[in-house]
Order: sequence, then structure tokens, then C-alpha cells
Amino acid sequence: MITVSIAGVSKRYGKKVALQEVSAEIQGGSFFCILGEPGAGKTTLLRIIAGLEVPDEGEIFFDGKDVTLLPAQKRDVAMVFQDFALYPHMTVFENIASPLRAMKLEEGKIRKRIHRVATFLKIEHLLERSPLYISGGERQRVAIARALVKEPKISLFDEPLVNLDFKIREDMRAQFKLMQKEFNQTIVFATPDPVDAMSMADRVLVLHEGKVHQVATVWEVYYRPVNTFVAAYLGFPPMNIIRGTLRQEGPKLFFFASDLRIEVTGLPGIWEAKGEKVALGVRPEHLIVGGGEKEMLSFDGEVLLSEVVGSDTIVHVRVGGELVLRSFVPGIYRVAVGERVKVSLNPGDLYIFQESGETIVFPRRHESAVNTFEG
Amino acid sequence: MKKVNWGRFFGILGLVVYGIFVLFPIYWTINTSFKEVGDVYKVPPSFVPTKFTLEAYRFIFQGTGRLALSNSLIVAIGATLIAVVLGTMASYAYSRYPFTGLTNEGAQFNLLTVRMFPPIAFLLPIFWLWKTLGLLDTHFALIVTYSAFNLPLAVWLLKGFMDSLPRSIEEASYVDGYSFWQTARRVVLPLIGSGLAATVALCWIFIWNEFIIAYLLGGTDVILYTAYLPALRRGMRIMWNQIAALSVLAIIPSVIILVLFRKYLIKIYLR
Repeated sequence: MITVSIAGVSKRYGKKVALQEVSAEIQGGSFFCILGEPGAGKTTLLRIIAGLEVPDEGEIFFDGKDVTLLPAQKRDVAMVFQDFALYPHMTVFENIASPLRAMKLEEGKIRKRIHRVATFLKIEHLLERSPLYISGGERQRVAIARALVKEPKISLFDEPLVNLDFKIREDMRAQFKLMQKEFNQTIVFATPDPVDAMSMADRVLVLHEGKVHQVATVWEVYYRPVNTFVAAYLGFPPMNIIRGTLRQEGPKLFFFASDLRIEVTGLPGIWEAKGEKVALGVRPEHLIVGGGEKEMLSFDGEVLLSEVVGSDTIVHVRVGGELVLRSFVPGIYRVAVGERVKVSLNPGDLYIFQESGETIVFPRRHESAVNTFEG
Repeated sequence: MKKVNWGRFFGILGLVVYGIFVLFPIYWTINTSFKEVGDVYKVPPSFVPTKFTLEAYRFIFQGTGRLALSNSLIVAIGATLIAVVLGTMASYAYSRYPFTGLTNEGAQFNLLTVRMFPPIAFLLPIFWLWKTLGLLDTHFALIVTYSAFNLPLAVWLLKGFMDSLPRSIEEASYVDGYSFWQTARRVVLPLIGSGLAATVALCWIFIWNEFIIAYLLGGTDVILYTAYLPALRRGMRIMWNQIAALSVLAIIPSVIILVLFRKYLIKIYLR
């Protein structure tokens, strides 16, 4: 296992900037997620790590050795492509054997290794079939088997779950994690879905328009997002972000937006805010509709919509005149549209962002969780 | 009473008529090739040789005919191979790499313009070129000229097959640890195999049946069968049985290639 260092990598395609000074370190044996919307540059970054693409600027190091110009076939990496890229003229067995044949491994060893991955991925019955006549989920397993069997320095997965149905995705997430432990691999996993990152990754790199916004553990990215983009991206439903102004009244500091007035005096770091214009963030799961404890801040709201998502409910409420906030209520919560409700939140759960998007205040009560997972 | 499917009836009738239209000349050529020359001119003509003879074939095999056929084989095989090999590599480049200063379509169009003029428009300068180089009437000159005229066709046909091959499959092969040439052999060539077969067949037909280039650039030392055929006219008498025998022999290689590769050819027309 090796540590991969990405040092100031930039890539342009004509006038389009795909990556801009991307830097990150991927520890050997970790599950590393590159999270970003379609077009953020995830695939380009994977291709540069794989050696299929040369960056315009910057270097890639494998355990301190500069491999920027080393072609893919000499890097000892494996990649699972978004379209799986199986060889249509070979059987499933030959597809999986392909990297082993390139290593000139003897036939007995090839069979042994293939048997192990095929058993793990439950594709033994497909080995003699053609990849043209198996299902999408099966093709993906074959593509994964081809990567696993190589026992490479690093495995790169390019949005492998995107082309699969919801049910298979759920199964595969658990499998990926098991697989990484079983085969002791370093995995870099590109995905647009924050759920993938939250459920599998040790560390996450949040990429947006070719720029790195944050590289940290899942918990840190979730609880201490560096800016509004990361804050809104991670989490379902996304964080409520309210733009407003910060004003001092006597010794106290208040946040104003629409008819809302929230005291923020006590929040750690709030006095470092530059300028009046800020944004306030609160995660839907921290916004309580109906109940709430005494020490919480409360507002009057009106229910606009109530969506039941599986076993949970997302309630859209209007507060302070025109602001619409989302609240995540575990369990099925029945409430009529138009009903007046009390909306409460704990000031300790608030985020405050600079006008530029940068985070200045984040909840401190999750510190212990973040630290545990970082340790 | 059973209902007659008239659409089907006329469809089959049409195909039968077309079949006769296409096959009759071949039948007549074979028929003529086994006749004596006197028998050929008989009125009314006979549908089978009145006296079956191999005399015409014997003549072709003993004389220049055999030489002309073997020259044709050398030139057609050489030129087809060159056109298909270079065409494969060029079509890969057209399909995969960007061209500086030109769009790929532009570059490809430039190449295709070679095919837009009748070859005879270029033949005089080409004749002088080979003459100046002292290579007129050689296998080399014929092979190079035929390759040049058929390369655009090969590139154009093969590029379609290359384009339909996802790049990620090649990249998967690099990641597996194979070099560019290993990838070409293991992945690219097997996957465009039907395109290669069809291209070989089409190039072969164009080269094998070509007359004007063969007549102008060859003809004395290196005579191709297409240029030799008209020479079988002796004075007032046309040796139809010998012409027919040579024609029958000349059909054979093309028939073999077309029968072997016909399913791939059909694919090209269906694209």
C-alpha cells in the first residue's frame, strides 16, 4: 500500500478549466472519496492519478516518487470505469484475468485469484458468460473483480454506482466497505452522491468547479464545513441557509433576516465576522417543529408542505414572514398544510457564514464526535 | 380457398428475375469458356457447349494469361494489404487524436477528395512521375498507385468502426498493464475485425477490377489481366472462348473473398 500525494494539479481542456491547483494526500489503506457534482472534475482527477492523463501543472507522487509522466500501464493501479469498460469479445473469466495475464502470472495462480474475488463478489456462475449478456449490476461486479484481482497499489472507482438501480446501490455500499477490508486496498472513489461519501469514506475531498473546497474526514466535512457550498452539499435534505445581516445592539449581536431576529452574541467566533452581510445555517435535523425545549430559540411558523420520505418526514415551514425552512422529523409526522406551528432550534447548532461563503461559526457540541473519528 | 399473398408472390418473382439478370452473364461466360471458337459464333447460340473442350483454358495457362493473372494477384494483394494496414493506423489517428489547425472532419474531408475525381484526372502526372523515376511498368509502381487510390476508402470505412469503439475499453487495457501495441492487438483489432474484413473485400474489388491504371502504368513488362483481356482480339477475330476462360479464372479470387466476408460487407451497408 502506498500514499498518493496530489500536489498542485491543474488541467485545462481548451479554455475549460477542469482542475485548478488540486492538492491532497491519500493514505495507504484508506477509503478516499472525491465528492463533487457532475462536471466538477472528479473523473479528470482520477484519470490523472491513473496515468491516463498528464496534468498541465503539478505532480503526482506515489510514496514520494514522482509518477506524473509515468503511463498507466506502469503505475500498478486499477480503475473501475463509469461505463465498466469490459472487453466485449472476451468471457467474464478472461476479462478478470486480463491484468493477471499482463503480469504473466502462471495459469494456476490466475485461477486461484479469480476464484477468490469471484466468490467474494458472487459472480462465479458468470465466469464463462459473455459480458454482453449479463445485467448492469453483474457487469459492475465483473469490473470490480478485474480491479480487485490485480491487488494494485491503488484502486480508482469512477462513479460506479451511478448506473445502477437504487436497491443494488444500497447493497454495493456495504460491499465496498467489506471489500476494502477483505482485500486490504487503498480505494479512491469518485461520486456525486454525498450518501456514498458519508457511508463509506474515511476521508472526503469536496471538489467544485475544479477547485478543492475541503479535504477532511467525513465527520469534519459534515460538522465543520469550510463554506456554504460544502455545508449545503453534504446532508439530506440540504442545510437551510438564510442570508441576512449582523447588527450590534448595545453589547449584543443579532442576526436579521426578513422578520426574523436571532441573538447570536454567545456563538464562538462570531465577533470575527467581517462586514454586516452574513448567512445563517441550520441543518434540517436541528430544526424542531412542534415540540422543543425551553432554552431553545422559537419562532412561529406555518406549514407549507409535509413530505413523507420512507420512515421520516420533511416539513417545509414558513417563518419570519417569507423564509422557507426545511425540517427533518424522524418518524412519520402528520401535520396539516397551513397549520401554525412552533419552530425551535438550539443556538448551539447554528452555522454562520461570511458573505463570501466562508464558515465563521460552526456547532461546537459535535467536537467530541469529530475528534473521536479523527483519532 | 387459400388466400394468395400477392405481395410475397411479386416480391419473389422480382428476386427471381433479378437473379437471372445477374447470374446469366456468369453462366454465359462459363458456357463460352468451354466452347471451341467456332461454336461461339454459331446461330442460334447453344446453351451448352456442343463440343466440351479445355482448349481455351490451356491457352490461358500456357501463355501470357497465367503471367497476367499472377501479376494481378501480386499487385492486388500488395495494394490491398498496404491500403488496409495504413488505413487502420490512419483511421485510428483520425478517430482518436486532435489535428492542429484542422478539425478532424476537415482533415478527413481532405483525404476523401482523392476519391472525388475519376482516377484518370490524375493519371497523366502519375504516369510522368513513374516514368521520370524509371519505375514505369513495375509491380512497385502499380502497388503504390493502387494503395494511394484506395487508402481514403479504407480510412473512411474503418474510422466508422474505430469511432464506435469506446475509448474506455482501450484505457482499461492500459490500466491492466498493456502497452499501446499490445492493446491494439488484444482489444482494438479484434473489436474492429468485421470492419477490417469488409474493408479488405471492398479494396480488393476496386483494385482487382481496375483497368485504366493497369493499362497506362503497366502493360508491357508487368501486364495485369484487365489489360491483357483486350489483347485477346486477334485481327478480325475475337477469341471469345479465351476471353471467357480468363474471365472465369479472374472471378475466382473475388468470389472467395466475397463469400468469406459477405456478412461483414452487409454490416457496412446497414450502418
